Amino acid sequence: MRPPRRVGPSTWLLALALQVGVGCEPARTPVDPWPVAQEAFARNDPRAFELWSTLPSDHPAGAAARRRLAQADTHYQEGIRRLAAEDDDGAYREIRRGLDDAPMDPGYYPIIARLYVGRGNDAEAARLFERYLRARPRASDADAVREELRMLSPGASILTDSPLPPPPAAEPAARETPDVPLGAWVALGVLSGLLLAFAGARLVSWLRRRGVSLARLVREQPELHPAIAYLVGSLRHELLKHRVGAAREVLNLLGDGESSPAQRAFLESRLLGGSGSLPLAQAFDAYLRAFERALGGRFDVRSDHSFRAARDAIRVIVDLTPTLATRHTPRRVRRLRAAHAALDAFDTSLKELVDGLIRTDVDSALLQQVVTEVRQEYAPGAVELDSLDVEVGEPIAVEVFRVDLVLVLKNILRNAVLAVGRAPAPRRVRLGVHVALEVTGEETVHIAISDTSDAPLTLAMIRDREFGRGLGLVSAAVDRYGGAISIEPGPAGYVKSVVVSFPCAYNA
Amino acid sequence: MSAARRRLLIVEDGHEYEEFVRLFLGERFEVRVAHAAAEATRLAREFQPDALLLDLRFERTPADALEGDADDLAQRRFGGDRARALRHLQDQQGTIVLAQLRAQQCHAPALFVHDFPARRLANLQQLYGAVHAIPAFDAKAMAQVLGA
Repeated sequence: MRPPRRVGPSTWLLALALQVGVGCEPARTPVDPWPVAQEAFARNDPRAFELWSTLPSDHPAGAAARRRLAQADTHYQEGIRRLAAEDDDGAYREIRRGLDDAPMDPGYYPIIARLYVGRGNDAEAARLFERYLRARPRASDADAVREELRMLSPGASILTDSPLPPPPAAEPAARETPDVPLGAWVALGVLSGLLLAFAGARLVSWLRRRGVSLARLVREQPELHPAIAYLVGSLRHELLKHRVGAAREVLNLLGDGESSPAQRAFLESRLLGGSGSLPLAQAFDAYLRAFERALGGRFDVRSDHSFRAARDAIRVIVDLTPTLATRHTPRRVRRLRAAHAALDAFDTSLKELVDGLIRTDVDSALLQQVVTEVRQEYAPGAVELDSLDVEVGEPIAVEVFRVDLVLVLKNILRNAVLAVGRAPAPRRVRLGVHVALEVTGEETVHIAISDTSDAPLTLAMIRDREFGRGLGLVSAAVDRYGGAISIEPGPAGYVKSVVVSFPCAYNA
Repeated sequence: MSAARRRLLIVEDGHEYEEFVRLFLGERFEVRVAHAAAEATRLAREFQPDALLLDLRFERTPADALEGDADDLAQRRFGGDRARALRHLQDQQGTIVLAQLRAQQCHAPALFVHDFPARRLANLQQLYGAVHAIPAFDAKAMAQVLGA
């Protein structure tokens, strides 16, 4: 049975705002936040990002929205990097690409604005500062941003305006105020009170649930594992290996008194930014924001000891390393080495975390379970098969929760069994596993369910759920885990195969 | 002294690898740099490198300059989602460039700065012969692997 949908407080508050906004309209079914979020993005509303990123994790569009946000974010970061390197065309192209996917994190507005200030484009900078304040009027740095804006544009309306009203959803048509009897107002008051109490309870419940560590998120939300694996991979490769790793090389040389000015300059660029890259501490924070966005807001760095320790270590490295050449004291070297050791420990903890993510062995036990459960659904003899074979080679793992993989395979097998039941003999079904080596050295696991029915079956039919909910679920589950589904000609003796493919899971 | 320097071809989307090698291993290697597969295969022919140093992710390379068939990949592995296929090509571009170099008969040992899972590294070695990986920028390890 499908679990009840969890809805975040912003959704409820938005729903509440809509209720209040429409005055005496009758109570509605809960507002779907996704169309509201899309409309805000289309309107270029600065709060679109918040609406996208707070979509409940179990909302049907939630995973896609987070994927698009993460995808757009790489373009936005690259755009900023290019802007810093004065590659305006490249920056424009990247930001344009980001905008094709999803809204920009307002946290980037002040960064871009400051780049514009540095280049004398005060008007654009003021516009972005203003946009930031409209999106996040109560952010911890809002006062500082207001000051920056005041320096550029003392008359900016945002400095005197009240915050924007809540983002509109479907605007009610203008109408004349009806003559409402007192009883209706009382009923409305009671209803609003109940709604407020309910929203408050949801808020408390949500506050209790939010702010968890990455490790806890891994335990509680297996559907996020593929996203977590990707994010952790990026963080480890781009930041910990490339930037911190390169900086450590210079630290070793500085420790031996062998560094040259050019090497020190290189170190500074790795730590403090430049050549189009964000400063290390800022880059780390950008990664953290990417985690928080992609993981639906439950991950909170303040609740995660290892992330907090890593951030502290990065601050130490950024503070102490650039001046190490001139102030080379044993105490500073010890602190730096300790900071690098802390980052090593952080890296190891991330590796262990990814190693422990969900994975399911695709072996004969799994396929036999699928066959047995499907066969048990029908009375013996109801569907006569000439053969139902299972062929598996070397066991291999995929990053899919076992329950979901069984669900996917059972639905495809059930469809195949029913199709051959309606077809003339011979009635044969076969489950086979094939592992393909890609040019990248990765492997793709293809699980094929082949049958002898010549009844037409296309991907469009599966996606459009022409065969009912079962195959539609297959499509959705395969998408969720970054897999693919295809229909291919069957091997010798079979008409067609439905093939589901997933990347092979490795230990990190 | 310079006669003893080994020829190193670096393939990356930025300049970080080049900067690092020039600063820390400059005396040991004569360096050429390529930023895309076509340039890499041309340089491999002209320069005849003794070793290859490859970036893995080419996040700064525009989609139309990436090596690999995004449409085919989208169909085979990503349910027709071209954006995901392009992202994957960016993420794995270094290995795809290596495939191109090997197809052009460039068999110099290749090094990635990446901690590949053991099975994946074995796959790369099965496909492309001498392939090495070190987990982080480390001049000493790099020199050792690249034979300098």
